[in-house]
Amino acid sequence: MLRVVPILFGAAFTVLTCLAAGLLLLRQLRLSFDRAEELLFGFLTGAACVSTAVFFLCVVHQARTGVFVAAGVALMTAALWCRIPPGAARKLLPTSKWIYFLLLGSIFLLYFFIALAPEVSPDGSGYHLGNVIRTYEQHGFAWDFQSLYAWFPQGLEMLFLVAYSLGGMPAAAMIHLAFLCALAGLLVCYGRRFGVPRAGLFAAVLVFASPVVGLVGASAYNDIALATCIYAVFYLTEVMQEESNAKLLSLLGLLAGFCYSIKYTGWIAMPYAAIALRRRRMMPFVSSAAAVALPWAIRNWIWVGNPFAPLLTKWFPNPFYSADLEAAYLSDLRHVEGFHHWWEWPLDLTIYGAKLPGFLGPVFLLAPLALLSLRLPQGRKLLAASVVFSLPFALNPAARFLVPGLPFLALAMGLAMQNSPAVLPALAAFHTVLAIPAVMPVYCADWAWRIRSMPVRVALGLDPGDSYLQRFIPDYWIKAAIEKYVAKSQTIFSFDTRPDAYLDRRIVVGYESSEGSRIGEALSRGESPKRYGIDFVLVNDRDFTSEAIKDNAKSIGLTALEQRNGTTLYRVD
Amino acid sequence: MERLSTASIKAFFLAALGVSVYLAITRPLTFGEATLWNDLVRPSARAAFFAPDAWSGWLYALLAKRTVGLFRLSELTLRLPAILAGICYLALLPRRQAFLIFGAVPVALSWFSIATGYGLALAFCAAAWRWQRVAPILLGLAIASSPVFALPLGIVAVVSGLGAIEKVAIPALVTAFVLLIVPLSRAAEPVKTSVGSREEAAVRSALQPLRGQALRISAPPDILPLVEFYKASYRQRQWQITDRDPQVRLAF
Repeated sequence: MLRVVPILFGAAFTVLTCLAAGLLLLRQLRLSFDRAEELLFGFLTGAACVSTAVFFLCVVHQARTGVFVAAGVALMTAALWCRIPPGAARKLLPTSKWIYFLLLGSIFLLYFFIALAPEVSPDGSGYHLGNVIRTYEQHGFAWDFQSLYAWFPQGLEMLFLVAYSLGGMPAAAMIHLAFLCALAGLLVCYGRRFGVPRAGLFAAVLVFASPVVGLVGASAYNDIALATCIYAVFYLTEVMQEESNAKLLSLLGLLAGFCYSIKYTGWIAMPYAAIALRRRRMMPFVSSAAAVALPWAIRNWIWVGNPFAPLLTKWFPNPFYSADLEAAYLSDLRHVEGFHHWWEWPLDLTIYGAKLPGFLGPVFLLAPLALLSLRLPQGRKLLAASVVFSLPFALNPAARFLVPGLPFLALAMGLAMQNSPAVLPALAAFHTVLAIPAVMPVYCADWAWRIRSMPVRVALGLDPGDSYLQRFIPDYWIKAAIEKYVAKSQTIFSFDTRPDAYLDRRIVVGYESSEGSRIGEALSRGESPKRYGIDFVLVNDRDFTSEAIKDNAKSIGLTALEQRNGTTLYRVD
Repeated sequence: MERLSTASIKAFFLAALGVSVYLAITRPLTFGEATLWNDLVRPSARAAFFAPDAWSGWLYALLAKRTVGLFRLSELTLRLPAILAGICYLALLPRRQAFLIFGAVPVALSWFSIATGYGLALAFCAAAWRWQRVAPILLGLAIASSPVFALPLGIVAVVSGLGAIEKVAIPALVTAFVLLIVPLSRAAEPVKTSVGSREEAAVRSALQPLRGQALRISAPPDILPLVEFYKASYRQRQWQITDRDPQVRLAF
């Protein structure tokens, strides 16, 4: 049980630090939100500020636990000292709110234990937390580590870093879960503010209980944080059309910039907000957006020579990542197999999750009903936003890339069905039941990417985490093997990504950098990778050169040390 | 005149009911009915719900399970829910409308004498007409009984305007969605068969005289569900359905 204390402390400390920073900012801007909105926008804008501050700490290599604690305590004290007056009270929610709150609460429990358990998500245990741990160990950015995943903006990882320094990996996942809760809160607040409370409550449940949203939201990913900030941008543009308060522009810019700093695909939030705010003075918006987004572009420009690394390499050629590698990477992301008819796509995205990673839940098959909301101006805006923010799905067809457009779609569905008696609570309850791990196998593919159980005992530390990790991370055995064979100063080459967060060694991955690509090609030609400074090689049976490497291992100078789950660890002699 | 017409309508209803019952007793089991029994009535309710063809008839199968359990398996007991649906339909729908529908759609008569969801769906529609406060749920059950009903009901809703869509069509659609989405998610392509009414009648004629004999019977896959049904219906445990050294070979 003691395992839980630092995790919860780390997560709570980070969330409260963000909240304190945001509330101080809202106080400075003297904005009029109600109590719930104040907390939600306080958290999100504070997160943008704290993330940017941690970025600069990483640049000067002062990202240390002590610095985080001192800054956090100072911010919290200042927020308490300032005695921020409570926001205005707003209209009450309908009595049916308890049904929705009960549904949200029950599914939250599941996510809470998933987040509390050791991180097992592929990208979370891979590069998201891999980057965080590398940064934490060096108290700043690891400038000598070249990988496309290290060049992506890491706005959310900056918050993970604070949480990780106090509570370890699950604390980082808890931060992402906090963003998911904020998204549900924003949907409820939107409904209340704009006169569609039942649609807001319904959308909150629909998004919160969506299988892919839950899985990603309870892991150390960044998609849900992006969706939350995008939704907050939309919310503020709607508030601006209602109130026309110029001070909101800075807040809006901050959040739009934060979208970019969380994930490249978040750049759409900036032009979207700019178009929605046409004919207004844009300076406060542009300057605050730039304050949050530009540092990442400048970092990459100085570090790699490409402000948008690893993308747009043709425009910004550099020695670390070639245009060919970028093209291969992007085409790999877009590559999908197994669809024979167009109608298989919506079925796979909502029910099966067999060919694309993740699924949204069967209730989203009723999405065409949202078209009925086109008769309302609000519905038209929501559907337009849903389409715009779902565009990145075309570049990476995975269900989680639809999540930024999902809150808008869910709200539009709620709007379309809000006058139908009893439909919204019934559908919300059905959706929640379908999101229970024991129910999901009834309709989805066996191998679909989803939450498979509620690991209460592992989360509370009553069962050892190792067996849980071995069950969900096939490569986890490598940890013991490399600790046995590989010295800390030695380097490993791998054709595929590995669970970086658990492997305390430098791993050069074939497709992640030009250096990796050169080593991979050398191995394919039957040359020893020793001259590239590689001491060990990890090869999967499914790697296209695995057979050749196996056959010519002796001539290349490789000695197989251990083999498990289709992966072999070789020593370079 | 009014009384006369009411009396004639009542007489027509009784005649229609009589014809339905007669057809239910005498008509040989169809391939579709045999498959319904084999896939959805015979297994447990849970297994039936997850069967590949559950989406097309699991509501009917739930009722047929009760009637077959109560009165032992036969063509009539398998079709009893359809007959009961016919009685409900005639009782619930205002007589003139029912008369008109019967007059205009003679096929409706056969829907109440055959083990499919059509009759059940029609009965739910009649109930929706009578009890309009719960009409959306009843129409949802009609669609769940026979998903093809979604099309005419959808057209009626669209023609009736936004109010009907919001108050009736959407709740009905959601009710049907809740009941059908899991079976639909497991749906497989329906089995194509060349078995027609002539073959169905021939199977019964061929098997009836074999009652009481211990035999090895071979049958092509197309008519296996029919043979299985008659084996269970006639309680012929001694019949062995096998391709190995058969004593009776059914082939068409």
